[in-house]
Amino acid sequence: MNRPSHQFLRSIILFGFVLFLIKLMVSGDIQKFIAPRMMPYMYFTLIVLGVLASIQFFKSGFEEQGDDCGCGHDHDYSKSRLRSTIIYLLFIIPVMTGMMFSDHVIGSSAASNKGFKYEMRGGSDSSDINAPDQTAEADTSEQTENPAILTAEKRYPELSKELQSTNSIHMTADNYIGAITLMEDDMDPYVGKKLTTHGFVFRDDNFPDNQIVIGRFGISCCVADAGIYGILVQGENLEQYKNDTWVEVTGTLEKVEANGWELPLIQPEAIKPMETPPEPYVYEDLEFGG
Amino acid sequence: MYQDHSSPSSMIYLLLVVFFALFLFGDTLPFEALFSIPPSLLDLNTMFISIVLEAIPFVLLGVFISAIIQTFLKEETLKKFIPANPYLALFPAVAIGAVFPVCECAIVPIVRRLIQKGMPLHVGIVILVSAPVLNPIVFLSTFYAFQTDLSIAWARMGLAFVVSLLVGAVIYQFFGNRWQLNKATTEAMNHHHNHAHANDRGGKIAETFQHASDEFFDMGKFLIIGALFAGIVQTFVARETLMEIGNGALAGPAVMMGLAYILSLCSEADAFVASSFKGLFSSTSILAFLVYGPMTDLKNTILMLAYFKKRFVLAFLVIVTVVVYAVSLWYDAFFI
Repeated sequence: MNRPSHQFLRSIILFGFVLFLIKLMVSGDIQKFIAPRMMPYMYFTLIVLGVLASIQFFKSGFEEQGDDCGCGHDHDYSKSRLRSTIIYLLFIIPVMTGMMFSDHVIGSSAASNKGFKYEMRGGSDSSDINAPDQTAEADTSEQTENPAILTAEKRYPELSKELQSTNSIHMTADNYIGAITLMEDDMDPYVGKKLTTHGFVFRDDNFPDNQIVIGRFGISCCVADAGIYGILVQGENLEQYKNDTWVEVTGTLEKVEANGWELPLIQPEAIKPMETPPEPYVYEDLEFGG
Repeated sequence: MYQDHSSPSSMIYLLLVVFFALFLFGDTLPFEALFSIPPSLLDLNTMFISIVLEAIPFVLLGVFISAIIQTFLKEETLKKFIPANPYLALFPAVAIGAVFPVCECAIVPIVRRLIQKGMPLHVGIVILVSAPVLNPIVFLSTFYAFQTDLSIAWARMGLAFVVSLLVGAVIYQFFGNRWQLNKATTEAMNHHHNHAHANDRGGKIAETFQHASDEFFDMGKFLIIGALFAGIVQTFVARETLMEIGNGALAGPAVMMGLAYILSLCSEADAFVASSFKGLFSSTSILAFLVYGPMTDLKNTILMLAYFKKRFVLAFLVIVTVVVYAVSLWYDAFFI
């Protein structure tokens, strides 16, 4: 391959990346890869790659000798056909598989890989969990003394007021992380309230038959840092709901204790299967950047 | 494939057509069912592409900042600001690292350029390890992720400061000022010198973009391989497997450092992942995760191979690992 061909191929690959980004942005599938707060960076990437693709494209039209440098240096445009084919395939394959499978949503297998908080905490031996438990207790006692420390309640003041004043809580994508953080921090004000939530069904090997988790993935930058948020559901006939099915659950909130942790639990009244929503993930709310 | 053609351009046009076809119909065609692809492979694909997409803007930023350094920073200016004493020089380096809000993907090409401009190796490495962790954005995200224990955010910054200085000092002990950039980088640099003064301004801008594109491809292949490995680990290795190794006072930090290395998370996001380990690992182990991850990880090691000699990258990895581990044990013994 000669130099203009390299430049031509590179311009087409860059153009492929541009098409891929436009496709993701138009379909909204980009939120299945990247958190909304990262979008300015994605627009920046789109523009820069577009400019680079055009420059490469027009340069490749000039077949004269190394006109841009005039120093007889060939960068590392590889002369070996096999080597350059492999390298370019590295760029071509993600663009193609990205466009083919851009609507894929990670689910219960990723959740069990990443480890659900409760199950990880519950799963360890009591001897292992002792030491960190003590530090956790020390933290909570400090919390009440030190006004500078942000508790969940201070972080979501309006949401906490709103949730405590109502008798039927409706969890949405916007208040999902906040509501779960508040309930895991202090479950007492919420016991006995009615709650409606959406999420995918997920259970682990060591779950009893009458327990499932209804959860969603929370993302701070990209899917690779996704963490699972969810609420335990306990009741009869839960076996019929397969892992990864999206459901709407309505029920009454209870408090359970597991290994010294207070957790919310739903006694379900109604469980309705639903379609996977177009925005299946929830996003960490950060008051800075992006 | 295209051996028979005198020019491969017909293949390239075909590629363009394929891109357009996928652009228009990629998500309407049922490829999943057609090839019966297991969901775990689709998970892998999603993780892999999300890491690539997240890293590309920062790699591009790094490439452009490094181009600006190339054009505007004079070697003499750089020399003036760096103290002659190699150990005193560590302190301004950490300060630069703390001021630059650059994450770990962007810092590699920048440091490479600074070293080419005559910055001593160990000073450059101090910037490389300190910039991704000692910065205001990372402090804030740690602060939010660990609201119930503010000491984590401060300790993360403090330990990163100590580790950066120690890594710089050890690198100086072992490598002095010997040249550690690889052959391709050195050649490209000599090439830069030859024509830097020969062009008018318009040519210079076009050339900056030309070089940015070349560098995108040079670095992109390492980025993609790194993201692929990180995606494979994220998809197929359960985090519990690592936890089974142990979470005691000695094993805990080691396990969390291993986790930080293979997950290859962006330093802005890793605090949220770390906070999910609260209660499962001691705060020392979590700090080891938070300090080690931004300084080096799987994706970054592969990125460094784009510019540095293999032996140096390996030595760097060993030094950072040993120093972070030792410093977290020291922290555990005296501050917890």
